[in-house]
Amino acid sequence: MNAIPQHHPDKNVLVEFVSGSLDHAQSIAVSAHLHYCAHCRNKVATLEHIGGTLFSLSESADQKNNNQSSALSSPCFDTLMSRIESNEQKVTTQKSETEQVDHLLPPKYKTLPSVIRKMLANSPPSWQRVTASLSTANLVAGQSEYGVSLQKISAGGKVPQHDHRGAEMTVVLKGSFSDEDNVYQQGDFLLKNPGDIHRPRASSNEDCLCLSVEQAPVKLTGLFTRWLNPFIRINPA
Amino acid sequence: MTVHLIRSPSTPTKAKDKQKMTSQTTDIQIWNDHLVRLGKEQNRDSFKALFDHFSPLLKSYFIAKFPTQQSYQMIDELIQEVMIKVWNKSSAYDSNKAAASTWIFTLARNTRIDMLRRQSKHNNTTSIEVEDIWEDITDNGPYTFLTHKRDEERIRESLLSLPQEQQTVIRKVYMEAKSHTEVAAELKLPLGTVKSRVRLAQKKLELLLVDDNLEP
Repeated sequence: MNAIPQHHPDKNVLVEFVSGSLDHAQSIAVSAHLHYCAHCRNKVATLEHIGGTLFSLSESADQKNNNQSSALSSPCFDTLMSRIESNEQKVTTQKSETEQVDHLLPPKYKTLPSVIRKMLANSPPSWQRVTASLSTANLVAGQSEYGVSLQKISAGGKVPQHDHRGAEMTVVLKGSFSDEDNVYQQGDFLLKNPGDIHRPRASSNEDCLCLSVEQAPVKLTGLFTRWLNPFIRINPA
Repeated sequence: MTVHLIRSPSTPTKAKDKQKMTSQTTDIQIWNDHLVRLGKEQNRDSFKALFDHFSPLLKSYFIAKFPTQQSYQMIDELIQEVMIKVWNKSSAYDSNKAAASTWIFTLARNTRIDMLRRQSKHNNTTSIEVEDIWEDITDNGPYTFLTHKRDEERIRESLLSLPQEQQTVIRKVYMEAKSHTEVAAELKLPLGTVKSRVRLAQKKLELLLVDDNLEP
C-alpha cells in the first residue's frame, strides 16, 4: 500500500454505512475506501460497537415502548437446528466459489478492493475511450439510483473544468490526481455535491484509476467526463 | 439510576461449563464465551443459549424496520437466517476484536440489507453479496477491541444521559436503519439538525471508547 489516505468520508456517511441505511452503490464506494484506510476501518469498528450496544439494549426499549413484539412468536430452535443440519454441505461449497473469482481477473486488478474485483469478474469492463487521455467503463452494481463506473485518466491528462449536478463519490484506486485544492492519492475518498466545481488532472508519472459512484439519472458522466454529456452516457446497472 | 433498562444478568443454564462463569462475569463475556465455544466445538448448548438470548433482540431489531403485522412471518425467517449465519460463521469470531452482540448486530444488519435488496426491483441482477461490501471489517483491521466489561454499561449509561432528542435520533439511525434524510423527514427537522444531533451523540458515545483504546 503506497500512501495513507488523507481524504475520508464524513462521519455521518460512516454512520449510515454502519447502520445499513446508506444507498447500496454509495456503500460500495465507502467499502472501497475502507480497503485502503485503516483509520476509517477503526472508526467503523467503533461505530459497529455502538450499534451492537444499542442492539443489545433494544429488547428493554422495545418492551417499554410497545407490546407489539409479544404478538410475534419466536422461531423454534429445533426447526432451526434441522435447517442447519440439512444446509451444512452447501456452505462449504459456497466458499470455494468466491475464491475462484480472482482467477478470472487479470493480475493488474488483484490489488483492487474485493467488491470491485467481484464486479469486474461478474462482467468484465468494456472501456470506452472518451478523449485521448480518458476512458470509462461501467460496472454492474445491481441498482438503478447511481451510475457506478471506473474512470481512467492517463498520466498527465487534464479534464476541463466542470461542475457537479448530482452527488458523486470518487475513490482513487491507483495513481493520483489533483485539482485546485488538493492532491488525491490511492484510497482517497471525495464527495462532490451538486454545484461543486473543479478541474482534475492526473499526476504526470502514472495513469490514474478511480471508482465513481454518481447519482442518477446520469446525464453527464463521472468526475472526469461530465462535460462530455452529449457524447456519452452511463446507464446505471 | 436507570436500573429499569439494565437487563438482569441472564443465566445460560444450559451451558455445560457453568463453573467457568464466575459471579463477576458480565453479560458481555458470557455471550462472547458462548460464541467462541460454538466456533471451536460447534457446541449445541452454547448455540441454544445464544439463540435464547439473541432471538428476542433480533426480533426487536427487525420489527423496528418492518413494523407491520404482515412482516411477522418474514421477521421469523430473518431471525432464523441470522442464527444460521451465527452457526456457520462462528469459527471466524474473535472475542478480542468484537463483543458477541456487536458481531451479531453486523450479521443482523447484513441480513436486513439483503432482505431490502431482495424486495427491491433490482433483485434480478448481480452476484455482489452484501458481505462483499460490508466485509468483516473487524477481521481485517489492526483494530483491537478491548473487551472492557464495563463498555456496554458505560455506553448504556451515556446513551441514557444524552438529551432525549439525541437519543431519539441515534436510535432511529441504528435500529430503524433510517438515513439522515429519512429521519429528518419523519421528525420534520432540517437535515442539518439531524446530522448535528447524530454527530453530537456519536461524539459522546465514542469518547468512552476512544479513551479506552488510547490506554496501552
